[in-house]
Amino acid sequence: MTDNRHAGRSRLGASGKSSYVKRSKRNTAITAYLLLLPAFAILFTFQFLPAFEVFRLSMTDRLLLRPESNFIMFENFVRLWNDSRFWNSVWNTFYFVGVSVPIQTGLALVFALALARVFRGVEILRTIFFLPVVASLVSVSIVWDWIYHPRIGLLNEVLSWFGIEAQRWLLDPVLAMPSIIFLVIWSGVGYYMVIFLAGVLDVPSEYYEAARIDGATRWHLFRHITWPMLGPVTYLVLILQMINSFQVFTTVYVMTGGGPVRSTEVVVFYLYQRAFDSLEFGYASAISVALFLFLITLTIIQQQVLGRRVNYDR
Amino acid sequence: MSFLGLYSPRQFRRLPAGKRRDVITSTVVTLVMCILAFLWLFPFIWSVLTSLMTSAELSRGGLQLPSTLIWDNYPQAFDRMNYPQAFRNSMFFAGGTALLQCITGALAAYAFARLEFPGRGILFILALATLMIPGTVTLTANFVILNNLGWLDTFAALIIPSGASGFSIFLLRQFFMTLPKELEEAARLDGAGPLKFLFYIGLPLARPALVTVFIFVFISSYNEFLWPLVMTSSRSMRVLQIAMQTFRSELGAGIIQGPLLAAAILTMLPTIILFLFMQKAFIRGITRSGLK
Repeated sequence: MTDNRHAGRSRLGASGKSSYVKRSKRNTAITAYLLLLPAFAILFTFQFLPAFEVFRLSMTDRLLLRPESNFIMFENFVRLWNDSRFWNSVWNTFYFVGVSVPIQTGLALVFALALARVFRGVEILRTIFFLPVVASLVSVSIVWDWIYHPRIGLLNEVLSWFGIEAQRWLLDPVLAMPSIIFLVIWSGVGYYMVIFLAGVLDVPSEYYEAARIDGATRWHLFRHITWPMLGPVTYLVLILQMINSFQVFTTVYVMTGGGPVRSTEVVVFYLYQRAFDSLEFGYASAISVALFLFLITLTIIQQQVLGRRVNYDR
Repeated sequence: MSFLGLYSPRQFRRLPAGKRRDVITSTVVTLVMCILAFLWLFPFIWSVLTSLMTSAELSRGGLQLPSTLIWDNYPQAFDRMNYPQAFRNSMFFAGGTALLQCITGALAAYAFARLEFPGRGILFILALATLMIPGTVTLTANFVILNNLGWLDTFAALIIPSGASGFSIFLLRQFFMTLPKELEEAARLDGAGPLKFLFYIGLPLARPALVTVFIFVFISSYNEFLWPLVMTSSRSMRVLQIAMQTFRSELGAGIIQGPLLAAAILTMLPTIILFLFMQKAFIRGITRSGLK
C-alpha cells in the first residue's frame, strides 16, 4: 500500500514540471500557515506571552491600581523566602496533595477494576461515580458545606448513630483540610476511574486466558498482567492529578476561604489573595513563578523517575 | 447480584468449587459497588429532597423526608441569583468557548495532520507545550494583558483567551490522521484543493470528534470559576458559578437555606443533563486525549 503511494508520487514529481511542484508546495505551506493562524494567535497572546510576562511582573513592584511600576530584581523572591504565610500555604498544599493523590489514585483503580467486568447495570454504576465530575464544583461545595454543618449537617447526624460526638468539621483547624480532601476525592475519583477503565479494558483478554490455563489466581492476574500493562495509564493519572491538585482553589474559596486560622490556605488561594485582595500584582506574580517552576520540575522528575520504570510495549 | 442471578440455586450447587468461589466474589464486589454508588449519589438525592423542605424542617436538621413538597425555594433561588441572566451568560461563555475551540482546533489540526510545511514538528510541539502552562500561573499576567486590551468585564475576556487549546488541536489531529489518504487524492483529482477538501469532506466526517471537543470544552468552561471570578466584575456579566457564590456570600457563611440548595441544584443541572445525553462523546474526550 504505502510503497505504491510513494512510487506514484515520485513518478509524478519526476515527470511533472519542477517549478509547478515548487509552486504547489509553497501554496500548501501558505494554506497551512493560514489555517494555523487563528489557533496560534490565541495561544501566543494568552498562553506564551503571559508565561513570559509573569516572569517580568514578578521582578516589579506592580500594584493593580498603579500601572507604572519599578524594576526591583529579585526583591519579591527574597520577600517570598521570608514570608511565613507563603510557607504555610506551601505546607498546606503539600498536605492536600500528599493525602488526596494516593487515596484518589488507589480508589480510582479499585473502582475501575470492579467496574471493568460485565454485568447488568454496570453502565449505570460507572455513570453514578462519574456524575460529581461534571457537576459544578461551586454547587457541590455548597452541598457539602451543608453536609458538614455542625448542627444540622448530615455527617454529624450519621456519626451520632454510632455514638461519635458532633464535630465542627470546616470550622475546626485540624479537621478542615481532611474535610476538603474528602469532598475532592468524592468529586474527582470518577475522572481518573474512567482513564483507568479505558486502560483495563485495553488489556487483550488472551493474556488472561493464557494465564488462567496455567492456573493463575485472580491476584496473579492483577499483579503480573493488569498492573504492568497499566503502567503508562497510572503514570498519566499521577501527572494529571498532581498538576490539578497543586492548583486546588475553588473548593477552598467556597468552603473555608482559607480558614480557620489559615489551615486551608493553599498556594493558589494565597496567590489570589495577594493579587486581587491586596492588589500586589508583582508579589503575586512571584508566587506564580515559584508555582510554575515547581510544577515544571515536578513533571520533569516524574518523567525521569516514573517514566523510565513504566512499561510501554504492548 | 446479577452474577448470582445468572444461576438458579440448583445450577449454582452443581458448579465446580473454583467457579463457585468466583461467582461469590463477583457478587460481593458488585454488592459493595452498589452500596458505594448509593453513597456517591446520596449528596445529590439529599440536596434535591432538602430543597423541597420548608425552612422549619431544614433548620431541624438530621435525616428526614420532607412532609410536603414545597416548590417555593426554586422561584426564590431563581430571583435571588438572577438565574435567567446568569444562565444566558453561562451559555454564551461555555458555548462560545466550545465553538471557538472547535473552529481553531479543526483548522489547525487539519494542517498538522494533512499538509506538509516547514516547521510542522516544532509548531505542533509548541501547541502541545501549552498544556504544560497551568492556568493559575498565568492569571496575573493575563489580567494585565486583558486590561491593556480593554477587554476586562466583557465576553471577549471570557471567551477568546481559551478559544484555542493544545487539547482540541491534539484530539482533532488524531481524528484527521485516520482519514484514508485515498479520499484526499480522489478529491484532488476532482479538482478540490486542501481547503475545499476540509470544508466539504473533512469537517462533515469529523463530526463525532467535533462533538467530543464541543461537549468537553462546554462542560469545563461552564464549571470554570476562577477565570470569570477574576476577569468579570459587573452584575450583568455574572455567569452561574459566580451568581451562585455571590448569592451564598450575601447570605453569610455557614447559613444554609432552602433557596441556596435550590440554587445549587439549578446550577449543576445543565451540565448533568448534557452529560447524561452525551456521555459517550464526553468520555471519549478523556480517554482519547490521554491514551490513544
